[in-house]
Amino acid sequence: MIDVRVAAIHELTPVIREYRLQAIDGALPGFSAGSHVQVHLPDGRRNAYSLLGDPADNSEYRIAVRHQDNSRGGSRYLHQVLCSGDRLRISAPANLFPLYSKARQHLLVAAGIGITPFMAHSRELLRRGEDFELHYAYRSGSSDAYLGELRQSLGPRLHEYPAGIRRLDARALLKDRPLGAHVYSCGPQSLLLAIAEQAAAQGWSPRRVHSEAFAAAEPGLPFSVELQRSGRQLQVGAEQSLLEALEAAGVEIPNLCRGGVCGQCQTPYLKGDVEHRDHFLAANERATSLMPCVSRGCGSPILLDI
Amino acid sequence: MTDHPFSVPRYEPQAGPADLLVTQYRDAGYPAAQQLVQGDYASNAALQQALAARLELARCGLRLELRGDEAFIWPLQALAQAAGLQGDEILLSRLPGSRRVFCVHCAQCQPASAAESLTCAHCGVHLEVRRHFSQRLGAYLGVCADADLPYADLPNGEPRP
Ligand code: FES
Repeated sequence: MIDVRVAAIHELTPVIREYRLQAIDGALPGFSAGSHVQVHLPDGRRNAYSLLGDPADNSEYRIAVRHQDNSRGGSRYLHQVLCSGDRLRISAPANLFPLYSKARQHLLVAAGIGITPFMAHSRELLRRGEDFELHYAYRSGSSDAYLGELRQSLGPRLHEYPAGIRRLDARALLKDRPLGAHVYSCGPQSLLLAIAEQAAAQGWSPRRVHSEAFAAAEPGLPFSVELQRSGRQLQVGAEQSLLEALEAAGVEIPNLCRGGVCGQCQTPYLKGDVEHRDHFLAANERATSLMPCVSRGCGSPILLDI
Repeated sequence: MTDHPFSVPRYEPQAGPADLLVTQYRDAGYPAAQQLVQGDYASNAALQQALAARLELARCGLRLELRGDEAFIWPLQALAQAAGLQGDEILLSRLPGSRRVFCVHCAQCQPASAAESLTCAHCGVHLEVRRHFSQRLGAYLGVCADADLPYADLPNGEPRP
């Protein structure tokens, strides 16, 4: 856990703000391109945000947050309540989206706020002098953060897809790439799927295909769980995730992404109806395991085997 | 795979025929332009050069099949991976034949049969071939079969001068 101060807030677009975070005492830990931190919100929630600054510079961490109307409050708090000078508590950086060191060509594909991890990646790749392209789909004037900066630093390496003007065509994007190519995508699930499907269709090994989803729990209906070993009963509110409810009750479950992709929070259960919302578990694992960071109860109460 | 007396690394299965075949023996069922045959090259080094040149121009999505005995396959596999192919994009079809054994006592590799033991051609130690396979060397490890009689195979049980 690290205590930081909000050193500055910049409005990048009407819906995206950048926050610069500095250590309150001591130095911030270094991070590799693709890392994220969890920001701990006053209500006990934690949201994961990519570090978009230069990995060679750990004097401050930079994150960018898009205001989500339907968010459970994380982005609303950061956008409307948090001020420059305020303190925040964050977790140490972890990297679930690293660059593949042996790649001969890196294809970075972003949509909207999915640009954030690639800000760090593209700086790192420029420094290493590696072959890469950044493909950026955005909506002009709202989800086009850092566009000017990227045009300047990347020149012809930047490929733009403004909404309504040019469509991002996953098939064309992956076609005719040299043998050592790797693709990285970040954005909505539909983008990640389109890339993964095209990669498979063109015979790419899944090991060349890397992605980071917008990892955040979605609200749902309230439900209840019971903990087998302690016999405790917990209520999970509509706006709360099961992981958050467990944490609020003092039960710590390992977690990194809090969005159903990393697999860290896998928890066994014995009975109950589960709405699985993760992208990690295989179908046959779902009968006995669930991912509390995103998945919810949807019927008979869940009995967790913890 | 079960007919191998020694353990072999396992690979994920993949579908469909490969786009490029590198083989010890010509496969009449494969288009000539899509196979590199050992016999067509003056040496293994020349064959490896030809493969490297093909991979340099190849596009992502290419599936490669390497077919032959282990001594043939492993150096090619290392080359293909260095060129950017992933392990699951390379199909290995092992044929019985020679494999390589690395002697841990003199740190030299040598061709060997599938037999469980042999005498190191370089230092003369009687080696037992372990199941341990080094991807880096493309060879199985050979270690002294009997520490009390390291040179059991030599006429008077003495090391080479
Ligand atoms: S914390 Fe990553 S899957 Fe739950």
